Amino acid sequence: MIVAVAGGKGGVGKSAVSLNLAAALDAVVVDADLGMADLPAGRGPDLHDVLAGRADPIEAVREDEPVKILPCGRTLAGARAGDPTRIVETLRAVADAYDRVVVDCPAGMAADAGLPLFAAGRCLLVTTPDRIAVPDAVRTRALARVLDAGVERVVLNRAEDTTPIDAVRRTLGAPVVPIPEDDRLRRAQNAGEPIETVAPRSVPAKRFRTLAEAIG
Amino acid sequence: MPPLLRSTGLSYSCEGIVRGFKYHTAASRTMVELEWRTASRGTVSFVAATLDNRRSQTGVDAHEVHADVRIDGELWPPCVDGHPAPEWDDDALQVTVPVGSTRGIGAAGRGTFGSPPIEIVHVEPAEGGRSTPDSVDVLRALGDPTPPREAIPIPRGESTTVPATEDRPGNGEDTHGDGSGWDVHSQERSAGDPSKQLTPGESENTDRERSTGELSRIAARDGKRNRSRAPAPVERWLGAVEQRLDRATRAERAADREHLARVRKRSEELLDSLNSSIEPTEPAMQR
Repeated sequence: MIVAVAGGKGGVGKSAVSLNLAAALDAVVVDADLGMADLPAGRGPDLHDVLAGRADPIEAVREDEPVKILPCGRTLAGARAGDPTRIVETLRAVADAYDRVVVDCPAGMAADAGLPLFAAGRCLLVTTPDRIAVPDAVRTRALARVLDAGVERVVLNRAEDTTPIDAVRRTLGAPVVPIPEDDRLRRAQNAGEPIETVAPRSVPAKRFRTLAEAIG
Repeated sequence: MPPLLRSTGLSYSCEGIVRGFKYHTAASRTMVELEWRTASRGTVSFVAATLDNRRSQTGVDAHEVHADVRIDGELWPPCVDGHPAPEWDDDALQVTVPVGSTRGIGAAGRGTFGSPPIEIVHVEPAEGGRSTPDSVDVLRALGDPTPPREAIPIPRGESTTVPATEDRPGNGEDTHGDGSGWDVHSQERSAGDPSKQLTPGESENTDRERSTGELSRIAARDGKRNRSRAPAPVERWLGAVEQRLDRATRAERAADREHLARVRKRSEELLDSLNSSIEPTEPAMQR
């Protein structure tokens, strides 16, 4: 199972959703943001090396992190050296080995965002309740539709009590999982850990468990 | 496999998998698996299915799968621009699934789906080989995301920052292949002693300019502004620059306003002066 976490706009919390969903699913999270990697990197071969043919995808998966991860390099030179189309076979190889894969997609509508959607059979749309992020998510939904990646859920980050969740659901055409703003979520993300390990009783932790049940 | 009932956000759902659908020819074997899931809300039902063509060994690139949807009411196939998707013809669909890949399908309807809700009736080699896009087609259609050559910093020689290869296992060769060795992440680790990051003769400003250019290009890409990976000193420097720019902008606006006010005042004075010089002459002209 490959689940792509996409959204169109940057800064809406795709990486946090990817990390926490992967933790809840016991999946491998793949940081596919080739130019602006956001998840922990550590040491060893990364996705840039895999796409450049210098490392095996399975070899690049790190199991000693809080969440199993195939990290991405930080250099533009590394991003340029690889063949972006190899992401498809990479994701499939990791899925064959680990069964469950969550892909943190880059922002935008270029091929680096489309190829993980192409490889994944399903996706999540991540957005925030604002007038820029939601239209970007609509465009990403159209892209996912063309690429046959069914939209399983919409994750609405920074949701508040007054957020018109039903309107977001109608606009994006999928059930919405609201994740409220929570400082512990940000702190856990900065430490490369899921909120489940930091605050398992928090609302975001519960929502991510619900999301994993729906996806898994 | 019997349907598996389980609770979801919808009123109920069930799922299942049909394995072992086989299509034999003299020299090859096709096996397309159908995995499906249904759900309902009120009087509306939904079906989502995956056609899995990863087990076929037929020597062709793709198969065309003909399937029927079983529902005891009205079926609503997916629409593109307000019209049913081209693969659909009433309750029948014909989709091409490349060998070695999967294809998702789904629909909604008013009524109850059968079990299985989708039935594969026929599989055949796709005419003209693969008709669905592959990863290269996606790349071609959406645009190559590879950073342009101009975005890659100029190699700085051996005494540059901690090389990117430090993260790599092995002998420290430049596994990135271009010898640049420029790495934001590495800079962060070595930021404590800026002097060690500079090639002899290279000014700190040059380094900053490169860093700023690099980060600006990153920030500009897709409108995504995320500087969380910049080294702390660079972050502070960028913040200070932004403040200066902001102050400068505000100062410029204030100066502009002041200048405009002066121009306006001078214009009014000239106009008054002109009017006062005209007024005494008018009676004379009338005479």
